[in-house]
Amino acid sequence: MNTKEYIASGIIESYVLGLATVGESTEVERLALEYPEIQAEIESINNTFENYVLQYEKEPPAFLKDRIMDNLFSEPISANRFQAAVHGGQSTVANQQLAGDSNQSIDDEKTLLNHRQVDGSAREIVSLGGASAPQRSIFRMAASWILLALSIGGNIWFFKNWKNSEEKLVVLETQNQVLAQEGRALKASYQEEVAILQNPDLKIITLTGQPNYPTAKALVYFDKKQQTVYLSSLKLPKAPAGKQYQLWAFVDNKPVDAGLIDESGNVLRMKNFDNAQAFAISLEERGGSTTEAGPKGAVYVVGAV
Amino acid sequence: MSKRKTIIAEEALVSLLQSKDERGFSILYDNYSSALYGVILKIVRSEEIASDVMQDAFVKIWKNIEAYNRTKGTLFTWILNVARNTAIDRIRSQEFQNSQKNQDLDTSVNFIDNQGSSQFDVDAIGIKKVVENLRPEYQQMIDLLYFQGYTQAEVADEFGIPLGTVKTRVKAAIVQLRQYFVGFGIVFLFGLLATII
Repeated sequence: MNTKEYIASGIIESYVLGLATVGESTEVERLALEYPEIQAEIESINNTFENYVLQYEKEPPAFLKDRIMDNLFSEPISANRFQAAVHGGQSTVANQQLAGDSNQSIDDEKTLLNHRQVDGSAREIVSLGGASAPQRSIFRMAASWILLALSIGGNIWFFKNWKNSEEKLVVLETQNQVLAQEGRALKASYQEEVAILQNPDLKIITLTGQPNYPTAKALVYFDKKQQTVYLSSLKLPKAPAGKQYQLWAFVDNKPVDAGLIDESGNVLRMKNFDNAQAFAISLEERGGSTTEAGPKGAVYVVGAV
Repeated sequence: MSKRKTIIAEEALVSLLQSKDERGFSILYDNYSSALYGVILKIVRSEEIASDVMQDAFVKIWKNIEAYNRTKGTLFTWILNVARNTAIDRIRSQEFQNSQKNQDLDTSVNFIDNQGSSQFDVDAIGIKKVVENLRPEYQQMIDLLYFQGYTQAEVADEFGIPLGTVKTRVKAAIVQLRQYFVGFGIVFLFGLLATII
């Protein structure tokens, strides 16, 4: 037979393109076995087309692989396993070849493939170890649930922390306001005292403790011109319940009520006097005593002008 | 995924596939999906349909892998033919014809012009160098036969070209392509040599 003529007939192209009839195809395949030129021609044309189509090579969408694999492998998993076990013996050749080839593997398939050296009976275990498509999706699902749980937990924790801080902040703000008020009050009272003390007409009288109360002490600021009397730096024992300290001015050797001592405040403004020889503080019933009655309780401190 | 291709002997891969090993399928997909997708896309001209055809083709490959016979050609030749035939079947199906009716009205009239410049091809072709090197009438032959699934007689019939001319053109187109790839190989070798020196 004239192989050149046969090759020129175009039948091989038709065969390669899958356009030949069944009869023609069988003929081409038979002749290919017989004539190496025809075999070579088939391979050459195939090669040409393959090279040609590789020019159109394009990455399919990323989701497609999973979709196809899920479609093929997700339904009857056990059936696949069974088949794998049945065909196990057949693949030993592949396994051995793979053992040699796997050195060249460029990705993680490598480790999977290395396992394949094990014989058919061990494959079941291997296939359980290497995650299949449905297993992968279970892992993925589990992972996303765990992440969700962690995220929710984290949010709750942060929310609680935030609430806590909020409450602390409110408390601190209130404390801060109180402190500021106290500070302002203190400052005002000290300013007041300083103003009093800067008065050149002022006389400072130290009231010292009586023999029974040696540690008791107080200061009286007395301005005769303005007739003002202030009480300051009180160092007296705390008045018992129902009792109250009272300041007395001695005018012409007679005690005159100079005012009840209110415990709060740094400097206390007392009653006015233009003339006094001495001052004293006594502990009286709450509400104090009168000038007519004079001091009834114990006198704690006394000082002469 | 061209970056994830696994180097594996074809026989080993075939054995894996024929023993219905899922990992064999995964390797097959990683190694060949972009080649098959390119061809399918070239035939069906829609990414959506191409994805669909890809799935059909891979299912067919998986289910019929026992039918693959190494003596008749390489695995790539075989799966490429499965993919190509699946795609061609799709464009010949009634459903596809209906959806494409409007577009098809004048395609046969402007056939040659359309090959290089149809709105879709710009993206699908990607690398144009081979196509540009092919004479238009040869390119038309390759496209009709390879991507549209025409028989040589159908081409002769439809385009009013004598069957002999069709055959000659197909031959010449293949020869030209072959020369191109050989030339490409030589240039590549020279380039390699030049880098080494």
